Amino acid sequence: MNKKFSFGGEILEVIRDVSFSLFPATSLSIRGESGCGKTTLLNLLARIEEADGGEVLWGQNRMRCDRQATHKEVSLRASFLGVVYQAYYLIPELDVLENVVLPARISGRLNLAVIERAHHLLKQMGVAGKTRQIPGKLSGGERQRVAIARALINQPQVLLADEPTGNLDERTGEEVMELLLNSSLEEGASLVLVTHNPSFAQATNRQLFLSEGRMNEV
Amino acid sequence: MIVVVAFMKGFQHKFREDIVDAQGHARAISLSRSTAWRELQSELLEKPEILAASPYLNGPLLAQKNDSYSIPFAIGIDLSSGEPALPFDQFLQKGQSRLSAHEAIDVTPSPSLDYLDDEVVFLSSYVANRLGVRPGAILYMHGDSTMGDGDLAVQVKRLGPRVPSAEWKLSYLDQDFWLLESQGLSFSKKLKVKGGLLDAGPGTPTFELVEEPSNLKVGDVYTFQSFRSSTLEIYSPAIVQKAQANEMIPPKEVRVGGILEVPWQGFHAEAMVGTFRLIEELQMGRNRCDGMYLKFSSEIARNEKDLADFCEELELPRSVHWAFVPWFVENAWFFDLLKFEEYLMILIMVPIGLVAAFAIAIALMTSVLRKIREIGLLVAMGGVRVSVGAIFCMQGFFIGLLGALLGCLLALLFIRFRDSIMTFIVVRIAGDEGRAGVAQFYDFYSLSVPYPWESGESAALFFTFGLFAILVSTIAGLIPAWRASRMNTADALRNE
Repeated sequence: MNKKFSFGGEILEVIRDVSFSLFPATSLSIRGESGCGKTTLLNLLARIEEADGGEVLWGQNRMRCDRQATHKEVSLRASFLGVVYQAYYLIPELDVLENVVLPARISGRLNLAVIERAHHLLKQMGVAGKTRQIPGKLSGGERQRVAIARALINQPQVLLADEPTGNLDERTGEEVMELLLNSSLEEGASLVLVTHNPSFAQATNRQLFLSEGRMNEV
Repeated sequence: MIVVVAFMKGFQHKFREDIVDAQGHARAISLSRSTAWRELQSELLEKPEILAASPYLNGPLLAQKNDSYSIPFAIGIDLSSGEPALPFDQFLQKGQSRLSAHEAIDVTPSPSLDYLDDEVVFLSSYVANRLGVRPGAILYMHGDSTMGDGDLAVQVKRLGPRVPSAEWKLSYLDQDFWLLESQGLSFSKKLKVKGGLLDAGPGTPTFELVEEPSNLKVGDVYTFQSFRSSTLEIYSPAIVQKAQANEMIPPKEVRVGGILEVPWQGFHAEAMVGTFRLIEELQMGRNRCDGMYLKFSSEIARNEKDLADFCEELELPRSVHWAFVPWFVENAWFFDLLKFEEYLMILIMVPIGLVAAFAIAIALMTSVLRKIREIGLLVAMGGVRVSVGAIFCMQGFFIGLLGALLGCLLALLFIRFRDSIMTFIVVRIAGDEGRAGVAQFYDFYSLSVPYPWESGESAALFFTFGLFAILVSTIAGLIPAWRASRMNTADALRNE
């Protein structure tokens, strides 16, 4: 994959011929300096941003990355991928349970079993008692736990986590990271973790480092 | 907007009713002083669409009472052919004023058209005040200040213009008989109850029994004081002409039968209504007619186009001698003015509405712009762009729907409580005098403003403005939602 940005006539190549594979039920971490293109790489993997060239394979589905995602790819994304963001991105008007089941609602799969699963995930994340609270009433750690539950609700094959502990204190960050690693393992989802923290990165099966647009194995 | 337009339509409706009351649905105007008007009247009354055709003669006359003069516009009505086209009884009822007296109640019945004969006229209040004349009156003398006329066992049913000034004693004799006496007139007559009425003949008041005889006892006496109606003298231009030729003709002396109050201001303020024969006699012009007031069936009258077509149909074979003019053509200037006022109000309200719509649109756009990250998130989760845009479009739709419902509810409340609201506002701005002025010129108290379930026009008005509100909000939500849903998802997620 390749991706360039143009800033006032200056071209910045943030992804240069990056290629890697992620095997089922494994984890992978990507580290790198701020602004090196880690989030852009995750966006390219999730097909929410267009690359200048390259391909991505979601299981057996091969997709060109230099064009906008098709309807089919968008619906596939809903079931194939779960994303955890640094800033949680919970919908403030919806309560915890509604936020968790939102991906299922969007993909038209909302039913009683999904709600049961949402309760199960929230219990697993340790926020079972907060189902009817709105995100504004939760702490940062609790919000991120809810965001992880939301990312897992559609039983995705791959979980993309973009600095999930970036807004949390050290202790809470460790708890959340532990939950993220354990739950992805339990759910059988592969994990792509973007982080600055070397110890969190070491907890994954494979560690990569992005520098000057190139991906290096650590 | 709903309230403004509904009220303007209410004014139009009220003025329309007032004008039709004062002038009929149309007037047949004589163009050639034709003498064959009785034939025309018969022809017209044979048509099922024409309910009444009242011929009239009109022209100025000089009225005198002592040293006071007035030149009223005299209208002579022909009452020989059934119901008149104009509701004179209503005008007389509106024009009646009550006397106030110590230990007495004015129990004068409302005059009616049957008082009119060749020696009786009805005057507009302006003329009556100018001449200092009034119709007959009768008071019930009780000596008990707490008593009201509703407490009486007998009421005065009719007080003809020729009842003299006198004190009348009405005594209960038995179930069938009463005694009416007047010492001053040396009058005494035993009256038998006929159809609940006690009538001693011309020149006396007619009484009506309102109490069950079982509640009366022998010796019950009711005392009344009547005041005879004023007289006035009338001179016509014809009399003046005769006087110039040294032929002395005395003026015509007539009695005041009642005071008219015509709701339409376009009706002559200085008016005198008499019989056709009286005005004919005064004008000394035999067998001619100036026109006819016409009243049509509701099928013709309710639609202006039908009415105009019908008038044209009537006029076509008679256009040499008669013109048939519908009420709205004769008063076109006024309705043009009223329409102009309505358009002016709309012209003022439309920019206000547009500014409000713009404010709603900006508020909705802002709310959507603040949601750009959420829009990006929904797309990132697998939401189809069109569906995500539709969510925000629906938000605008529901806000518009809620606003429209609330606006309609407020409009209904305003219409329902218009009198209280207007009184509250006017009294605080202009005091009680202002309230009287508003009641006089903008009679909210009798204004007919129909609810949407009472009139199709009103329902259409509510629907139109409700739809406008919903459309504005929906479009205001649609545009930014469409733009946001087309944004690059990654950029939307980066949006702060």
